[in-house]
Amino acid sequence: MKPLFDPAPFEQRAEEIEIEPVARVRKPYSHRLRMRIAATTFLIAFAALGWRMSAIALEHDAPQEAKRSTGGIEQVNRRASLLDRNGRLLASTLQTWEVFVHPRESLGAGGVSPDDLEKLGEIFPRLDLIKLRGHLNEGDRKFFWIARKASSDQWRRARDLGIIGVYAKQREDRVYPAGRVVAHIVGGVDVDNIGVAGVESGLEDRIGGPDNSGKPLRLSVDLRVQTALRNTLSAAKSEFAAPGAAGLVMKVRTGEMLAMVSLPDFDPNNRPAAPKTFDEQARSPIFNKVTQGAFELGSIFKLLTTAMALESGAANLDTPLNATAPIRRGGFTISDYLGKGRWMSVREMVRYSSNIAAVRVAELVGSERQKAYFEQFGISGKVPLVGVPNGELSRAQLPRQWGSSESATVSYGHGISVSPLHLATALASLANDGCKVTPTLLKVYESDLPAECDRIVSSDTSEKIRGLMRLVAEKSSGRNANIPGYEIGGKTGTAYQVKPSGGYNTDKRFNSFAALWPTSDPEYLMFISLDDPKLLDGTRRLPLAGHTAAPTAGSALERIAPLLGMVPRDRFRETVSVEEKQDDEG
Amino acid sequence: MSMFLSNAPIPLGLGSKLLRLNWALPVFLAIVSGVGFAMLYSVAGGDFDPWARAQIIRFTVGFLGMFIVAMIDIRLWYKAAWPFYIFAFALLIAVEFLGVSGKGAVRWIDLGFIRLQPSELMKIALVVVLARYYHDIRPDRVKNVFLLFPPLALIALPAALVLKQPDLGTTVLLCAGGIAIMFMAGASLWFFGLLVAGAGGLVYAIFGSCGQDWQILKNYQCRRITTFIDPASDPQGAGYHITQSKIAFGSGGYSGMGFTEGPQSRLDFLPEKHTDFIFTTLGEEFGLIGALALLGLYMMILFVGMLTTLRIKHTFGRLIGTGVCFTFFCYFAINMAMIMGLAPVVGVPLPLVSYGGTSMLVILFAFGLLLSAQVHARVPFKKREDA
Repeated sequence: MKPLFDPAPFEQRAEEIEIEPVARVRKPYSHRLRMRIAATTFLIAFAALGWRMSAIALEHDAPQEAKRSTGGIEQVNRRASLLDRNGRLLASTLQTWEVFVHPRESLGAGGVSPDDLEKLGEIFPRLDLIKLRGHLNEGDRKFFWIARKASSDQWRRARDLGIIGVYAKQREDRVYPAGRVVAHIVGGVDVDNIGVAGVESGLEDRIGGPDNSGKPLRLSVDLRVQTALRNTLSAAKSEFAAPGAAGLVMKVRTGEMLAMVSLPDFDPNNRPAAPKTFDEQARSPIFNKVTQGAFELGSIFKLLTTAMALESGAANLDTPLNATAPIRRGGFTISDYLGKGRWMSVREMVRYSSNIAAVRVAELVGSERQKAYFEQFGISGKVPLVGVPNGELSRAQLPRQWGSSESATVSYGHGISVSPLHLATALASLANDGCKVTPTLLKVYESDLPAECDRIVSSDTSEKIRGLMRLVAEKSSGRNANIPGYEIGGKTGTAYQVKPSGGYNTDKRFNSFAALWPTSDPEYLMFISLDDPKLLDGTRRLPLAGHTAAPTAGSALERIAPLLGMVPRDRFRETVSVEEKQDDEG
Repeated sequence: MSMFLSNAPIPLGLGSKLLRLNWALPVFLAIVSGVGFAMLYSVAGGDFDPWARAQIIRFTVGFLGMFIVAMIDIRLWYKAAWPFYIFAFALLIAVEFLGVSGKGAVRWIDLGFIRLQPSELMKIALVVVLARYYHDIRPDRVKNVFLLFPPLALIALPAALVLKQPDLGTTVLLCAGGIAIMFMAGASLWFFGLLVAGAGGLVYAIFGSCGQDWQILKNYQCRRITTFIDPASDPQGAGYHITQSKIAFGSGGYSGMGFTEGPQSRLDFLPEKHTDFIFTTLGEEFGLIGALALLGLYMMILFVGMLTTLRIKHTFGRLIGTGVCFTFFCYFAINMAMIMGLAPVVGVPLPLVSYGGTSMLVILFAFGLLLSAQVHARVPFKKREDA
């Protein structure tokens, strides 16, 4: 056996010198010393690491002492509860227990009687008794979970059985009584009770902050409206076989979000894992289409185009526009669905949703001014929705170059991708007498309202836009949403979906409907979007927004308006005249 | 092993080379890698995917590669030293321009089939080039002060590039490995005295710069150092890793909770549970006994490697052996120290156990070089200054 450390490893041994092919000069420095230093370094490191391992392992040798996560003692601050605007509970923090057993300890103390085991099974119905019995008999484990979330009562009963080796550790759990209904609003927390999405993350400082312990936070959401909107959208999603749907209801004056729904959704009590790839992300239930989406939303943009024209003085509602034939702009042919093939006024452009006429209006406005107005309307960057983390807000995707073809397509909502929140906020601002609206998920009290109007368009323009929305709901594509008595205004938007490879998929549409009521003194704005809806009613009509999103908005509105204390005023007056059977889309 | 070290004829045939090979080293390397497969299987919740399977494939490739490297004549590696170093250095510069950013740092070049981490390649290239440098110097001139500057430049240039990526862990490994070779090659002890003092001053300056306007490190690196000194200062943020790994390690106790039974690691408390922090899973599941056993295995590799190195008759081979052993030592010592809160978090994987292709291949390649030097321990070597 050779010694572990050669006393002079780098030196030539006497008996080896003669077989060395290359003659060597004795080194002028001490090999011994250097080798010893190296070996000592290794040994010291070995000892230090081994000692440290032992110290940590023995110091913490007991899982019940191991603080679950960093929480432990310092996390006495409970997260604030979340309430809806009427005080209904949306999120709360409960004390729960993690119950576990040390099988070896139990075995060492004489094992567990079958009776006790049976009782344990009664307290925790989901406990795998066979597995537990196995471990208790064999003592092959040091540790076994009995329940990860037990109530105080369950733990008290389990403790009273007096089984040796059964322990519990207190923990806090965030619970969401409303579950899926408010999924994207509350978002959720991670295992350490830190917000990861939605309001829980966006208002983390306020909810988890040390100063607000126990003080509940009131959100702008109305749980009744939220439930009604979600149920309606869910039904529409099935009816139109749509893979996804999104919707929101906003209070026009304050920007308060009464409801925000994105389907498919998830249970925030059991939040699914974050999607790994970009492709999965858009389909994931945790993706909030309302705030995170970026869609081409189609003809609803014609309202913005009109507002620009009116505001800049480039056109008035009666300005004649040439919509006789399809036009070519930058290599694209722009045509109308069910075109009139004649000259029409700006008013008719909105009413019949003529793409050609919209392009004419945009050309009257000019691309420079068009760009500036988009900026002014908030169709750029992110919408500063209060309460939502910045990462959950999408950025508006505007054309990179604002040439004639871009300017043309943008006028009717193509070649520009925004979230439903972007467009809804812009429309709310137009409707709110032209004063800018900042959307929020926090309840707004009268005292918080800004006294001054941050004007983006004149009162007059606002009134005209509302009149056009009323016209659409009364006379053309919005009729299916026109619930009598609420003075509803609206606009449809049917857009082809962009293919991942570029270009449009003419079989897939993204249908939206914006509803405003009552138009003479607007209080609420609703925005509904359906992803790739299909008409399965046997007729061979195309799935345009007027047949899909508009009736969905109508039935949602019929449920929601009474909840908001509104009474239909002209219930028994026929609002749709018989001659108007023209069905136009953009 | 010494029974094979007869006065064998040169050149050797493939068969006799295989016979000469010190088989203890590959065996220990395979055992440690096996521990790695088991841990990756466990952190995936008892599944070969997504990590264990890929790791096994990489190990198989790397293990075969190690033997191929070992069979190649050490003099060929000697000749290739400078081109190899320049190639690795060029890649490091290329990564600045063509690199793919991962986790906030630019470290990879995407070659299509493999994501190459030039800094890993540089670890070997530096060892080889320094070994050649000292091989070429006449022994009586080793202590010459002026001859200290070329090797220092050879270390500092790539280290600076890697630090800029930023990758503190690899920088530390490069410097430590390079300086270890200089030390074993016989550079003046005065120099090392100065070096220790200088490093101390530099570390003091770096720590002191945090929060000042002339801050040298990135913010996250500063936070890691602060939290290293006081982990409780930021338990949810930068101190999270350390606190969590200490808890996981502590809850394992003597004998652990059993294979695939560790709750902490599997419940996603640790973000890097399958890479840099895999040792915590081991500590949790196999306890103190398992952790000490792995440490013992590493030490065995180290000592077998050093003993093998001592039998090499040429400076080039001996310095390669020393460099490989020392780099390997730095790998596991820094990783373990970091997990147990003895060193700041610098992002050094646990060699052969952590998930990661380049690091696994590079370590096996390095041991292949050591074995090549051992197999060709007695080949006649020309020295430049002899010629």
